[in-house]
Amino acid sequence: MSILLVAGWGCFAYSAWRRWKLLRVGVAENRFDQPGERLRRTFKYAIAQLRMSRYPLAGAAHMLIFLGFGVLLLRSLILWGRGFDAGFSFWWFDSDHLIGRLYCVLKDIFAVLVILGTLVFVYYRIIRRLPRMTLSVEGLVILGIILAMMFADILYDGASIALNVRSSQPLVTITPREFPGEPNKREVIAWTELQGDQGHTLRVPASTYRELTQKEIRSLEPEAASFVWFEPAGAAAAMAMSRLPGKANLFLMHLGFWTHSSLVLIFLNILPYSKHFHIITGIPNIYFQNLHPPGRLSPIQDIDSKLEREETLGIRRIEQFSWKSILDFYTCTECGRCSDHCPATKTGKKLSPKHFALDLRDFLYKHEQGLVADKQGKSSAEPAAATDCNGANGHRIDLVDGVIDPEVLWACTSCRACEQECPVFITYVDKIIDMRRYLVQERGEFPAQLQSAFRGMESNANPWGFSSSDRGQWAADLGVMTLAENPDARVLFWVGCMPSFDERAKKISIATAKLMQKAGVDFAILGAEEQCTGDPARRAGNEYLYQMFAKANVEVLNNYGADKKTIVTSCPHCFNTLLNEYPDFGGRYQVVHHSTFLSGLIADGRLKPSRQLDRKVAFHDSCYLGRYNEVYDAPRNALRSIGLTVLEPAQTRDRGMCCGAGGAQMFKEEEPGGERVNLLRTAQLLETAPDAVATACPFCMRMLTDGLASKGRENVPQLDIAEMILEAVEAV
Amino acid sequence: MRILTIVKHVPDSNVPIKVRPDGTGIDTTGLKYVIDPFDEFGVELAVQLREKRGDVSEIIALTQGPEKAAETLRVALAMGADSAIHLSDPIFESFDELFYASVIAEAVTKQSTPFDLVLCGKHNIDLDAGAVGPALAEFLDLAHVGAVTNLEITPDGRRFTARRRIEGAEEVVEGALPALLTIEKGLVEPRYPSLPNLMKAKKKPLTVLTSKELPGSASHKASAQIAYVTPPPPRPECKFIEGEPAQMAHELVRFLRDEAKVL
Repeated sequence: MSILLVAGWGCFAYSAWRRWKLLRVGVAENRFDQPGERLRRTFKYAIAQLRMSRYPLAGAAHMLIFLGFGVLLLRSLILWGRGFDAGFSFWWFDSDHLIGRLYCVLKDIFAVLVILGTLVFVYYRIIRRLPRMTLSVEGLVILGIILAMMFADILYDGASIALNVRSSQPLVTITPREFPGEPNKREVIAWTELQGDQGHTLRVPASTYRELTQKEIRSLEPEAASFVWFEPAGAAAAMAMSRLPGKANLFLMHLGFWTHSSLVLIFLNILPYSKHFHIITGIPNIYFQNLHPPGRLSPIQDIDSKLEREETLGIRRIEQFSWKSILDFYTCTECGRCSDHCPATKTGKKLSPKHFALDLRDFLYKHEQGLVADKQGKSSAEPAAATDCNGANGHRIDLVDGVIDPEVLWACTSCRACEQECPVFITYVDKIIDMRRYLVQERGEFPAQLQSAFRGMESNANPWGFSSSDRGQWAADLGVMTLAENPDARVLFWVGCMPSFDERAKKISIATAKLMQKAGVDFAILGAEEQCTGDPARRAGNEYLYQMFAKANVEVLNNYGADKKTIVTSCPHCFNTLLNEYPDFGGRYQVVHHSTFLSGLIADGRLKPSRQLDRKVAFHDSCYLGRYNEVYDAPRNALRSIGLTVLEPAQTRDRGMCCGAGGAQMFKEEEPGGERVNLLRTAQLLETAPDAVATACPFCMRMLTDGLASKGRENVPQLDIAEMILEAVEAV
Repeated sequence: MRILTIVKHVPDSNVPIKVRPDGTGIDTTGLKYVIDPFDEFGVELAVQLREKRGDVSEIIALTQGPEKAAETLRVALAMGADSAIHLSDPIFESFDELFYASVIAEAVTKQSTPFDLVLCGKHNIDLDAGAVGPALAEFLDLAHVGAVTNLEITPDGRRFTARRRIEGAEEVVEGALPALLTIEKGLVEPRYPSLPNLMKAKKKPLTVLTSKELPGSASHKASAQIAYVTPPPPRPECKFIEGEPAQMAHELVRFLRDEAKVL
């Protein structure tokens, strides 16, 4: 047992130390703030596993195994102890104490539950062959080990009960020997072998080499193998095994004991090299998760001086990921929930978030030596030239040259469906954008169509290149004032590029403005002073361009005292950027999406729908409104308040599928694949047989209008919630 | 092989142009200037030639224009040109492309080493006269092919084959270098200069030449001048016909016959 333990734990310590050193290759990042909030989330998502249940059966099965492992951990420790002292138990955990007995019950129940849970996964892997999973041998080996551990434990208990040696007792038989002339004295000898079927097997710890009184001897009467209530699984096995000869049971007891004890150690040693590393890294990964609003991308700090010093902007090489990103790669359980919901994966694009993470993880593992050596050498020696990418320095290659195909990066719509599903809180969008940042800013390599968006933004502060002086034109006939004309306006209506220039989307702005006028809201727009928030540039990886807009807009807004106003916007992308990303540039505003604002006006009675619209509408969640900012109910409430019946497609709310326009996809051709994202989403919405499709985002509107047209379903009108509300308010 | 690319600093076509009320020209206040997109094709072609061939030793970008035109040179440098020449003097300012080309020609002839290839856009988007290339070729006594859509240069760098689209056909022109080519849209797609290259461009050499260095410019005379500029007539409003299909068809026929008088 000593050899087993030293070897097992020694090997594991070595592996763990290697993984620790590799983790330290990553860039520093502070994830140690707000311990209270971190603990709260750890409890919610790591212990209670609230995300696992998004797949109910798998979630339940995993919960059984997870709890089982927790319960059986103690059992494994006890068994290791019995390798040294056959009667070993922790404190009150032997079978003479109630606690010990209760623990035994619990342990047996969970051993069975773990077996059931494991069988669910065996079913998924062998019979259902779920496409989201990586159907590897490794997965089955691990499940096999878990099953073997459980059965070994039950076998050990069963055999020892059958041998009438309490399961908490050693592998020992005891025979009393009489002393001639001294009738009251008996010597009790502990044997490590059975004396045949007739031998007395008594309940005495092996270490008890001592003389016993007659009374004591009597108390050592052998027991028949019977059902021991506190070891239900073991006792059940014992009933079946009691007919076996003692030697067979003895062998099975040995087998069960050593199989369980050594499999635990083997399992432990497989962990760092497999997807089951999450058993160790999962809880820390959830603890160290991103606490910022999920829609905020970290800015590249001090971008100008980084340029002066010729530092990389974004992520070019593997070691430029932070330690937390490396922990993400370690933790990936290969469950495939991310890719199961990824609009790019679903439509046959090259991107699959799971494989993105795994490709990076495998690359990291493959080049462990070189990476660790470089990290350690950094203080003493100059790292070799980054361009040296052959042979031993393979870890220094640019990730986009062979590890991650740029097409993978450009297929992402930044919808965050993957992050919403991930049970261990791995983030993908930030990593993809970071890699885009390098491609765009350093290599100048990106889909050609984005160039006109960048240039449009540079010359006219909107990605389409419409004249910036015409930004306020949509409101020309509405009597809407600009902030320059009415600097004291309580509400700033931030219009956004598409609702300012696009013929169709202008109607959203007009409807929103008319509704605010009807409700008597004191509001103004910025007109020509408004510029693109920079979101398309940022999501396309052009952080430099984004920051120019962020700084310029924050300056304009702060000059108007926008921090004391309410900013209303109809564009979820503007909404997210203004609310979650401008604080990094000194702009902290109260920002409200028009769906929230308008439904508030109706609830307050300031807007009075003059008729109820008796129609059924399918509502499509915008990613940047829903998953990014958890605004799900406001648009639905607004629709219901005007009498509409809201139909929910199968993929809705936080599982609502992306329209395909986010993450700068709006301004580029879709990557090659089987199907177009907007067509798939349109089909999902049409399944609800709606009279109309409602959206709350100009980008979604464009994609779904196109989708309906492509499917020849122009007869289903596609309207923004503001337009629908206006219809109800204006109707006579 | 030494390549010279001529680039012009022109108003961004994405920004609407306003004509001054007195008709003397355009209102430049608030105008954003960019590198001429056709000249940009020339820079891109030069950089791509260097990337594909081993014999391009130097790419020089040249512009003529006000102080601000240096920004356009920086763009060319960020795209990959090695150095830049800026012809900057109020005397040089003119709307006459012949005069413009003659100033450039004087500067080019003053260069110590001759160029093997001179590239410029087939026209510039500001004046749209298309005279700069042919005029410069004439002044420099170089072979000239206009509006090139495809170009091949022999491996020894001595001869070229250029293709150009003409009405209903494609013309294939062969010739010897040195030559001056003007580039048509579609030959290359200009790159978006990366940030590090924009930074490096700031450190690349840029020579400014004025009428002091180019005394010949004083004797050139602009042979033509712009008399006045008028804005294009505003687009007539779109007319929408609404209603039931049959009714709309009736209305359309009535409109085409009675109002547009095309039927």
